[in-house]
Amino acid sequence: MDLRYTDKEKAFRAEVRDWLAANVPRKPLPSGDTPEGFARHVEWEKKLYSARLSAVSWPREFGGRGASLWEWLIFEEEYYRADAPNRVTQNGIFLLAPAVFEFGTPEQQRRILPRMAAAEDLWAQGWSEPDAGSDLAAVRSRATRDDAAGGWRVSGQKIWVTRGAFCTHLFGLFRTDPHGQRHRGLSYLLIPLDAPGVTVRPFERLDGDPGFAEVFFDDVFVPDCDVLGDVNQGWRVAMAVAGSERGMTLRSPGRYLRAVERLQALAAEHPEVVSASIRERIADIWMEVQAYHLFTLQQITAITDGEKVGAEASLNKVFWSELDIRLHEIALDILGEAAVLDAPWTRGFQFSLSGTIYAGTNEIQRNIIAERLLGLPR
Amino acid sequence: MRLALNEDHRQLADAVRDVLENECSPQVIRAAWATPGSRVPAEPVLHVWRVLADLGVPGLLVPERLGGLGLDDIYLVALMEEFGRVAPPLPVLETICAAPVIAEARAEYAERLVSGDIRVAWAPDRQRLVPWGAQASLILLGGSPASRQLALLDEPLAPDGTVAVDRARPVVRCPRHVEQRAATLAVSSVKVDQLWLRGVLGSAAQLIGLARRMIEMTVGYVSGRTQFGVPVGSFQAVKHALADAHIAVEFARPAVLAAAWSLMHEEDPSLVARDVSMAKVLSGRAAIRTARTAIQCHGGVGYTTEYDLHLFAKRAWALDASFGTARYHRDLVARAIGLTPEDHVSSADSTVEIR
Repeated sequence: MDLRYTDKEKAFRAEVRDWLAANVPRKPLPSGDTPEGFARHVEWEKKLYSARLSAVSWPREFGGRGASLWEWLIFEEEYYRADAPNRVTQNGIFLLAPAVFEFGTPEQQRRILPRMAAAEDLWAQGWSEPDAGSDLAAVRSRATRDDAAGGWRVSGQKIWVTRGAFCTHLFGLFRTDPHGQRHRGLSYLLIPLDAPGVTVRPFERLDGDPGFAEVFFDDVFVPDCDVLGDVNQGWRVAMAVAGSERGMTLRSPGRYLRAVERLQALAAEHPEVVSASIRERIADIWMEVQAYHLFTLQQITAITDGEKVGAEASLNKVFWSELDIRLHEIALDILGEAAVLDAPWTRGFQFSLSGTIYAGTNEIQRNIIAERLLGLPR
Repeated sequence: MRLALNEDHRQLADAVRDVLENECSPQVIRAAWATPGSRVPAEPVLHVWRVLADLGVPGLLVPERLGGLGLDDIYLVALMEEFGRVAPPLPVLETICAAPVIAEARAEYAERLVSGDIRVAWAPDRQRLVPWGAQASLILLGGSPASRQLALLDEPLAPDGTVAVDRARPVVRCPRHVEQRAATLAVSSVKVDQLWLRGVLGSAAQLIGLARRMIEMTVGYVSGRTQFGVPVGSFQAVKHALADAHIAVEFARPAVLAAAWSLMHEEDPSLVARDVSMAKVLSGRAAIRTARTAIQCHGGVGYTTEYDLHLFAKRAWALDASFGTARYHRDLVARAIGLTPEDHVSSADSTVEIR
């Protein structure tokens, strides 16, 4: 056991810190979930890419720098510490890319990954449908075989697509076997959002950002080369990487280490309202953030040792999402009537409420923890 | 960077776990429950102590040159978690922590400490409660931040009718006139800090073990108990309550491990104290929550002394309230991160007056 980083890791941290200090925009960018903001965020992604910092853990041939998980963790800590812009490429990098690495053909990897790292293609996850949220296997959007054209004709609808209004591509599960029930007969398809037959209808999130979208597919052609993994094996592809979405890679400890620092700074700016009880709550949330960090170090140790993180990722997800809400509730308490105003903390609070919903609701996560980790009967 | 027990730690912990599973069943705890006021532990309890002595456990932290195992704080937490799982009615933590301090200051006790011939009871806050104080041949007084002067009594305390909630952990007060007979121990400030922090950390590790044991018992029970034609463990409310307990424990555990590393390697004493306090807060809260969830999920059966659950819940409650409460440790963390104003002081001593 050793809770110190190596010299190489420290050097990486220094390199990242210096680069971010020199390059993070002085003024925060407009929200990435607005049209203008999204474009500015894409510019930022390209800047990261040019420094091989947009997907640090990927192999160099795909635009990364072959960083270890430890180095990725360090990158994330420094990234949040620098208050760098939101990663609008996140869903592609953390949700689609692992599936491409594991199930993609060499051709798909060459075609998809470098463009993703360079923010040339921006990927949105098309998971949910009106009748398929937590029950993802109830997906109804279908794809009919078109042998003559060498592909599939997709019709259906996806909903609650994060940044669907601004992304260039979508990945999702579609029913390629009309007789397949539930998770059987689904395929994982990759679809450009400007393909003929695709309609994107943006709508507003609770926190006011218009990046959410419904995406309608009306007989959209998807060639065979855009099927990820085997036909009718889409569920397996999706589940193989469900762990990363839930857990670590979606919300690294760096995010909350920085958030609690900002909370402490907020408290320091308003000593007159910070009562003993607020101090206690801040101490408590500080400890939870450290616990999350230490749990992640333990988890990365296990992965580095060759263990698989499966249902354990549900532990991460419940923990960070509920920690985030509590952290923001303390901020609102400090703000008092100022919480009536639209501002970063009040936006952050609203957004924190989505954390217990996306990436698998916390009710589902608790079921997974109970059934798969504790062995309770279904 | 690695946050995990090494193979050596795992092996010793596994070996101790196997022994404890065989030798320290709930029946042993019940034997102590039946004889709380006794000066001599019941035979099944003494048997466990002898087994531990044979393993060298009392001398875990005593340097090899004094006959001990010469192991470190990571071994301490790994083993104390295993002890937490079985809640032995013995001052295991106290003896392990005190032994190196007493052996260095009073060499004449070294051999008997290491051999297990002596059990040590310890009251870190001098005028307070001494767990197993009537059954130990040495009583160590002091060590907490408010009570740093150490003193040693070479006789057990007299049972005084004090009744503890956890009767397998009977407590007795050290009267002032007896305390005055205690011999001062000359121990460096650094060693006193280490002693206290080991006590806090060891109790945190036990709380993890206790919580895990209670979760296991509850999972077992609700998986088998059926109502309305199905196992009660299939109900979502039960699943979610247990999931929450499990989350609390799993996120407390690495903090205990990291605090052990900190105790061994961190140079800044205020950071060490902060890390150890954090471990105690997180583990204490996890165990308290787990005890409540476990009792609730067992339904009526959990609310009897005939069922074993109460043995572990009561030990958890006792340890949560000892070696500094969650409130005390949380306040320490708050100060450490710059939150508490200078004039707001909480000490491990600041608690309700016990009459």
